[in-house]
Amino acid sequence: MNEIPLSMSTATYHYVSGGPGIDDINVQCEPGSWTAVMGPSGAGKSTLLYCASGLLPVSDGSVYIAGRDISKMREKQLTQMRRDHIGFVFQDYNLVEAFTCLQNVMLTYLFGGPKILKDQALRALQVMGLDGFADTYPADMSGGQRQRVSIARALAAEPDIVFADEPTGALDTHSSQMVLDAFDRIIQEGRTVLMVTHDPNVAARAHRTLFLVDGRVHSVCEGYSSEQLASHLANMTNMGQELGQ
Amino acid sequence: MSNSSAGVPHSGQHGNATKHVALQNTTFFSLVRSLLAAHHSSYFVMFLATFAASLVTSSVLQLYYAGKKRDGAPNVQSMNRYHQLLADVPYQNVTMTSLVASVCSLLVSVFLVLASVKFLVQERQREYGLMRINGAARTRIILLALCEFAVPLALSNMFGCICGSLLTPVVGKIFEGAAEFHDVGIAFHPCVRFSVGLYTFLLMMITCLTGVWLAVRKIGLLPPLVLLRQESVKRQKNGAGRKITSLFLLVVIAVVGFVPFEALTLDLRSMLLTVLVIVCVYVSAPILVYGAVSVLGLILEHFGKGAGLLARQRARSGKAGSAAIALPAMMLLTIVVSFLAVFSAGSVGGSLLMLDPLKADLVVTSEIPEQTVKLSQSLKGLDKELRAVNTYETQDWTIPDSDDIFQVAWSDSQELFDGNKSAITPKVIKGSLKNVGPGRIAVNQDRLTYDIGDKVSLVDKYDNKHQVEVVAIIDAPKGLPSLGMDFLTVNDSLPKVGENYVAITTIVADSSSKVNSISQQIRDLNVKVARIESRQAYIDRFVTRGVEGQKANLIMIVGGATLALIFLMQSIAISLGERSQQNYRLYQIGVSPRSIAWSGGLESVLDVAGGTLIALASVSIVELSLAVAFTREGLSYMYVPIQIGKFSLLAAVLMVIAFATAIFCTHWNMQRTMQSGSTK
Repeated sequence: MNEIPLSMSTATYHYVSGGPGIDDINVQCEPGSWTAVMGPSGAGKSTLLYCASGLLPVSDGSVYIAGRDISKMREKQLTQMRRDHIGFVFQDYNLVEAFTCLQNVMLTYLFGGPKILKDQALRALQVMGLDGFADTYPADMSGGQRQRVSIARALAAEPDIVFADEPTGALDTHSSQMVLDAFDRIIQEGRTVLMVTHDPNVAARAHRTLFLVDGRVHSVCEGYSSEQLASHLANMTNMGQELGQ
Repeated sequence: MSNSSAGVPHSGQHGNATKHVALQNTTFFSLVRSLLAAHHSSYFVMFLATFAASLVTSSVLQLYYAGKKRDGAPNVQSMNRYHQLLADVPYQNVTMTSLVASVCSLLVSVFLVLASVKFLVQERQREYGLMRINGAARTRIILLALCEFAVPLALSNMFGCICGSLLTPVVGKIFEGAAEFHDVGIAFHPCVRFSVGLYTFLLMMITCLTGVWLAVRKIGLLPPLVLLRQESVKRQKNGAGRKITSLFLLVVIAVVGFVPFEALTLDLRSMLLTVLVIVCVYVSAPILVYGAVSVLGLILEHFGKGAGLLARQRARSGKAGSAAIALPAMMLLTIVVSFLAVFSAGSVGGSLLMLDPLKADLVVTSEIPEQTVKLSQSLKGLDKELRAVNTYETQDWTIPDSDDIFQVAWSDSQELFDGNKSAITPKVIKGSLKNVGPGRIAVNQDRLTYDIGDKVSLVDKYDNKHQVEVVAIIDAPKGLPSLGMDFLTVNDSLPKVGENYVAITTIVADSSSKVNSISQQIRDLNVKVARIESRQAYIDRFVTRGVEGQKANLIMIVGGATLALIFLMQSIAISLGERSQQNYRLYQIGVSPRSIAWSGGLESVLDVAGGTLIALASVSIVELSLAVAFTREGLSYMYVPIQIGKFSLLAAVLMVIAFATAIFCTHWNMQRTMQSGSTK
């Protein structure tokens, strides 16, 4: 992988209702990097994630994924980008309830994406501790198990970049650890993770953390501990409140 | 890129392209199987609805073909030509009636199946959103949906077509009376045709899958994030496209309904207008329903307290759900009642156009030749009170190479040649009536295209041919539909050996005040006549006969109502099913299950009432257009048939069913939720 997985240049998005979006974001994620995004509520974290992944079109600036400018792409091309280069892990598990775990893991391939062998998918489930769940439906699984299926898909499909929105938000400690360990594996394979989180403990596992306030990147912290991140977040939250006043 | 560190084998370049494609296709259909398994419970009502639609459509189409192929027609070889043709009339009737019923059934089915499928697809929008986010192209999702829905739709349509076809003999019995089989002494025995069942199946499948395609395509146009958040399709504002289309259709309706066009006959205008109104109502349903429930809901809010307030707010906020419930009511009332009005008006209007202007003050009908002679002689005694008397003896004859039955009329030559302006005589277009005599005849230009000098063979009841020459072209006297006068001759020119003898004597009184007296005197003559009618009574008889001929419309009403009720119940069940979570929360904060159920019932009634109000406006446009058309033709608008009774009855039935269904569904959902102790 030679191209930069993700590059955002002066990316801006404003909601029609006038709510805060993102403003003049410049971010670059190198291959094999893990970036967390934190900030007070309403700072634009999820908006940044959606714009970076092409789910929301930026109103200004550009977004490059795997060296291609997605801000100018049509829906058909975006669909192909999502299928071939992007993985998603959402807080609410992102699984199609009607499909089995195996089908969910192979989803991108089933819709014409890069080939995923059945053995490959089963192996990914096994790695995530979901042996024997191949024919199980999400409705019959716990939240943690479902999230691990999402991660298994990210492992099996080999996307260039994985976008995760509060991936551990609804999980217990043990399940959260399993998810974060899986992200470690993804990084080791040379792929990239961009993750939104409220939890300093989770963010501390990342290589760096971006702090957003009012849609703008306020600071970038590398190598911070969870306590430092928590303190920094508290400061950001107070700052956001003051600015709001 | 290697996955070795994750312990996942590398995909490499294993297998050839064919194997890759084969594996992918197999797995794609495994997705279809999974969707079918996951959503099977949601198909039940759709299955029932499309089954009913297929059943009705296939049975009436079977009847159409049975009529066209003349199933059960008697051996006519021993009959004369006249009776052979007469035996064909009921088959023509059943063909026409079943064709109309098929069109109505298909129309209702199309709109309601579209709404039904659309609702189910909208329930899946989060699922489709997830697929889109994971790289599913729109075409793939459409293909997936088509494959998924094709299975239950194919099953329901297949069973519906089979059952409908098997019910053909039963439905045929219902049509038998309306098509007047009994009048000619024939029993109708329609055959069941496999090919018709197959055509119906294909037609319904195309309709249903088109509905799936339209619904999923719309979902596919939305951004995946919108679908994922279920921001909805349900709560989206009505697009500009819908508003513009609705306005455009309104303008077209105004033009077609009220602007005079020479080329548009009353029947054609009315049919076209009805179809346009139906399409306009369907397109603008979400806009109209919101307005209607907002207004009508004020009544509920005022009288219904908390339950009424909740019902109104839910009806206003859940646009797609309200429109789905209101749509069956709108479609049934608009389609069925409008068609009834159009057919009745067409028949009445046609009758009135034939009757106007009727110059005669009295019309005396006799079916016995000897009594006709006696009447004529007796009327001479009333000479001073009568301005003009014309007697036309008529019989039905046939001509070779034609499937029609023609009326031959005989008249007294003196009455005919006098050309008295107050008399009821035909208008001569070409030639002269003075040339009519033995072997020479006048021809009515309305139904026949002969010219002066042409030779015509007339066939009597013994199938003997009588060769005559055309010496005049005429228009039959106006205002007498019983006097078609296809051929006119004078007494003793042609033997009276046709079928169905009827003598029509028209009387113009010297003064209108003497009409009643003359009528009484005729009765006192002790001549056996079929009837003595004043001008008004004669007109009313034909108008009534025209309306009664619409007996088969009852079949349309019943069939349409059945379909609409099934779809209505389906829409209510689906709409209330998605409320179970909200209702459970209300229950948790202290609202009684009874109030919740009551609110659900009121909301459904409100939606149906909204649909009824819209249908009332639509039907009113159709009726108003008919009134304008009647007036323009010189007819009284009082003759426009107002379908208040049928409309009110259908609306009342719909509201009662809606209320009962909603109460039941809400109560059942609540019980289920309370037992499970959680919401899904």
